[in-house]
Amino acid sequence: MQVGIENEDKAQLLSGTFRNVIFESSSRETSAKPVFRALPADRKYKVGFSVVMLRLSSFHLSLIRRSMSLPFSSVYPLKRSRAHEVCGEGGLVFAAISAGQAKGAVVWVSEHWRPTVNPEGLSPYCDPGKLLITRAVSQLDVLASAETALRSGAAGLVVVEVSGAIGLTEGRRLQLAAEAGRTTGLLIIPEGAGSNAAETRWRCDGLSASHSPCQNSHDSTHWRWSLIKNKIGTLSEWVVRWDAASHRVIVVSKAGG
Amino acid sequence: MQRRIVSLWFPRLAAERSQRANPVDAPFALTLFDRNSERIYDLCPRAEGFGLQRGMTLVHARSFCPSLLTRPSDPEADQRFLKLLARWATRYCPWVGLDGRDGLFLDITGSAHLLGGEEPLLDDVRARLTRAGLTARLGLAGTPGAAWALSHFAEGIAKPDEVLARIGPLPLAALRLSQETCTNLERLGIATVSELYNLPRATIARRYDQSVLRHLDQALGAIGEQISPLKDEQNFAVRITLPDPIGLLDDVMAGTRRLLNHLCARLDTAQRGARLLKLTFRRVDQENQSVELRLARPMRDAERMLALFERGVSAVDAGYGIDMIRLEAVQIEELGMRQLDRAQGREKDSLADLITQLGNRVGLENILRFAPVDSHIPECSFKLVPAAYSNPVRSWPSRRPRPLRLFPPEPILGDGPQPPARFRWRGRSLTTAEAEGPERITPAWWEDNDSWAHGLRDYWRVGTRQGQRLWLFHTPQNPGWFVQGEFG
Repeated sequence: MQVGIENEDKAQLLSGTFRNVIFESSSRETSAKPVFRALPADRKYKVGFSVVMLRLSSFHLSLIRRSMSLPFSSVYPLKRSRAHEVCGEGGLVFAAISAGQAKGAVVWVSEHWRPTVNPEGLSPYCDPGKLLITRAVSQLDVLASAETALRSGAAGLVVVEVSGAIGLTEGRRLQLAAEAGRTTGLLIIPEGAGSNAAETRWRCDGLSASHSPCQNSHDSTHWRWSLIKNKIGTLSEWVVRWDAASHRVIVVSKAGG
Repeated sequence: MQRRIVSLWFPRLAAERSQRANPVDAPFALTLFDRNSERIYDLCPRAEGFGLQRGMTLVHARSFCPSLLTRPSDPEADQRFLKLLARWATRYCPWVGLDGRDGLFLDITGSAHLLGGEEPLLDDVRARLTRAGLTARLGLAGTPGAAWALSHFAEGIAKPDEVLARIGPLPLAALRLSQETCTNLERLGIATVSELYNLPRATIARRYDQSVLRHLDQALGAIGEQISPLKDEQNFAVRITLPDPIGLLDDVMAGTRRLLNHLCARLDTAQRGARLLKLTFRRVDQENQSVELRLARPMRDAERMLALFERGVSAVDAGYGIDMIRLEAVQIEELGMRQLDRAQGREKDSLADLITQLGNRVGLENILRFAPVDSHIPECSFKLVPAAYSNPVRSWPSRRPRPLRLFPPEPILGDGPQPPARFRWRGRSLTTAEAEGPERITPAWWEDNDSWAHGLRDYWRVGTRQGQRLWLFHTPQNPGWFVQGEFG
């Protein structure tokens, strides 16, 4: 593993006091060498982060994920006045649950050809009367309507269903509108179509019964909610279920932990 | 005070209205399709000179006068024109009523002196109408009946004490009697009003119905007759003309603000709210640009409406400048006084404003709300209603678990009443991990629904090993498997 260090003091690095230890391994070599290199805690080093990210394999990511404990409550409910993104099979449920927890009206913007969400299916998560369905002709209209709704601040949550990729400009505009109107935005995006301006991005997948941690889960289904982008913190993933009685999301376990 | 009524008759209203817009220098007539042929509806004096009459078929008329020019008539536009004339006539008196399709009654009681007396008043009316290209016949008497008789048969003024003397020699038709009654009386040798008046009343009443006596009494003033003035239609439009053209957005918005303040004050007194506003800008090159604003709720709050106008106004091309702004409330609705409450009211207002803003971009009919429908058919159990014309539903009926997304049924391969263990759906092969069901739903036989042609449906909730949770159904009467929804 290469860590770019802009400091003359390499000697100390090799000899000195190690505190933060990073494992080095490649995904092919499963036998990890325990200690490779460490950074002294009391010295500030400028680390070439991009180099690090490029070399990190999925195994490293899972290691990092495991090593950091990100509490679910710090990222969900979604941070207000920001635009978030969600993708995956369970994105609709994620949006429905978020809509149920939002205060005030929920504006749901989508293109007119897309079938609307079924209010009967929505009612366990969210009161369908709260929803204002806005049907636009094109993605441009969808984004413009979403921006208007976010900026006005009249709604508690603005859910936007987009069908194509979102550029940085559009994402940033939505972000600014959300900040101006102090409204939360949630974009349901196709896989990989998000913009870099999003505050967080989630991937939601259903878990089949055999994969669910609880076997007697006849009453509720489980989802894996992975935080795959977070502007202000680390990433993590959780297995959650919906508790209809208390009307909230319950974390069953940390995925993979 | 002695009542004084002017009857104003326009004998050629339709033809003259048409000629005012588009003069012709030839025998001219208007036609109307009636009783299976084109007939003459109205005509000019030159055409009358050829012996043409109203009601004649056009073919017949052309044989008399081959050079006849015709246009189709528009009786509704004539009626509108008559209403305009009625509005114009309020310059003489405040009380003007319509008289059939081609006349007006003016109640000039107490207002004749403003123009120097009755004679000068009639002269003034006649002069102005002639200048406008209209032929008018005028009669002035103490009752509408007598005034009508004079205007139609002997133009002039009847002093209060000489009504009978003036209308006595006129034919019976002057009493507004029906053609049939007139003919009937004429057969008995009664041709004029005075002859009718001299008959014993009891015999007339016995022989004819009361209408003959009533018309006679109305003309002579023994029975009163009402003139119904036109309803004062409230017109919620204001305009501002500018000495110099303007073009900057701020200036235009300032002008709009002034208009809105006026309009809202007027709406406030009438207890109304605007639903559709139209703002028209006239440019110096006579081009008109207009901005429409559809509101989600009736309102009369100038500041809020101004903010909503901003987007539309900024798209207006001012060209060389704007010298007139006109604001009209095209659709208005009742809007009573409202109790002000601090938090909730503001929230509602801001949501209504949002609906308006979104509606101006995607159309107000595209902002929808869910409303429950009493039906057990899953796809018919709700409807979408425009949010601007409905209130949110507070309590939603809870039924069995339903998928979050419903789509038209998509067939999959599978047989037997049990859900297939593996199937392909949307290009993916899926393996059933768990299945819950069946829930049988029968079609609504009283409704004609083509998508239920397969008959009964047994619904299953199927969880797949790949993570999807789908809503499948089996049609036992017509074996087949379909996917209709996704639980997400």
